[in-house]
Amino acid sequence: MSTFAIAPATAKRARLRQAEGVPSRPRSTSRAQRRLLRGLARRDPSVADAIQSEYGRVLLGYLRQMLDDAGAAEDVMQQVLLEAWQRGPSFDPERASVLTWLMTIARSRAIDVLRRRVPEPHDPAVATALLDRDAIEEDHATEVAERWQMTYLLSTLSSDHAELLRLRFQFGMSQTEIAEHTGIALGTVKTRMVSALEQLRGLIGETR
Amino acid sequence: MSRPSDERISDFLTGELAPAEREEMLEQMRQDPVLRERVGSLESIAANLELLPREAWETLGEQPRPAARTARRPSPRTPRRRMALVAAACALLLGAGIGIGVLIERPGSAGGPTVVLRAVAGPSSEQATARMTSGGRMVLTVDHLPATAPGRFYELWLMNSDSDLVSVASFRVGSDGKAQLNVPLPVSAARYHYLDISLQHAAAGPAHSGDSVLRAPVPS
Repeated sequence: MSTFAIAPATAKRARLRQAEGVPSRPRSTSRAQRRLLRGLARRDPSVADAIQSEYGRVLLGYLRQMLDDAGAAEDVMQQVLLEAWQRGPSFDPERASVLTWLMTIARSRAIDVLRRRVPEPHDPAVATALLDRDAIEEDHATEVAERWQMTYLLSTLSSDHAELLRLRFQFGMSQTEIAEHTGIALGTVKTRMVSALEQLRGLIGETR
Repeated sequence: MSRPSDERISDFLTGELAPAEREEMLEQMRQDPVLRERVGSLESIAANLELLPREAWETLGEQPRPAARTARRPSPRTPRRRMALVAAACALLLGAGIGIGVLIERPGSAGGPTVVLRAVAGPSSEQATARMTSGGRMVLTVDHLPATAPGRFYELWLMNSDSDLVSVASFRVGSDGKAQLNVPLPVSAARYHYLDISLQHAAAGPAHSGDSVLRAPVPS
């Protein structure tokens, strides 16, 4: 089950919306994101810094997990920043969020690196096996990208909600333990848990 | 039947409902498509949160681990409870055809990293295949395992060592030696090195029996 839509599906939905005459949903953007969008449109040299500041930790975290090599991840990160800067003027915020767009670029470059690590096969049977493996690898890259997108969205939640989710899903605390740890009534912990997950679901919807 | 409160939904999402309550909730979801959509979407998000690697949480800012807890481990479930959950989820899936709970793998379902678990004791026809799937789940298919005797069951673990491990699921095998299950992973598999299947005695408690049958590195 895929929580996020990486660019191709997002673009398809946007095209469908346009074809059906359905207006795109407005995306909620922070001041920093609006500045970033202007920088992308103008191919402003400072846009790489803006991307680093807003999304750098998530992009690099994703690349590190995918490549399992900090040096390679840093190299690919530079490629992502360069590509984002080069393609910035053609970025359409109505078709995808900046985050989704950047994660799509990072995913593609990570897959490029992973495939270069495997020598070209000469045996047709090996080539077929590699094709299967490539498909698995792409699915895995998408799933990992979705989780890192979620990580960014977690950082935009209210601190109360983010902390609640951290205690449950990072530290594995039960709701009773969370109530004891935070001093919040158990019933409130439970209603906030649902509220936090629904807030996150809403943010995920905006990235599509 | 009135819709469950948010408190009850939260208990469901965090796995804190008693088996009978969970079955009741699943039945409500089966009968109520609005509830099913709402809870199903939240369950999917919760499953992805379970799979976030430690590094992802760290990008949100370093937070001290709560003092009362030194290791993350899901609350222990007895095999009987797990089997009840499997049965309840299967019942829902058969009735509603939705992608939550535990289900038998569908042909053509999306693939993920796959690994073959082989016999710890040496060459043998016993084997299992584990495939990571989207939504933080694992499809396990076992073949040629001896049928489980009364009071015994197999248990799937994510493991670093005999003191650093977490139970994923328990299952039984019939006379055909086969079993197939699709289970949610309670933690990120990336934090563990091995998948291990042990033969357990129901009367011996929830700890690993030490009798590992199949093992493989965790697929990345």
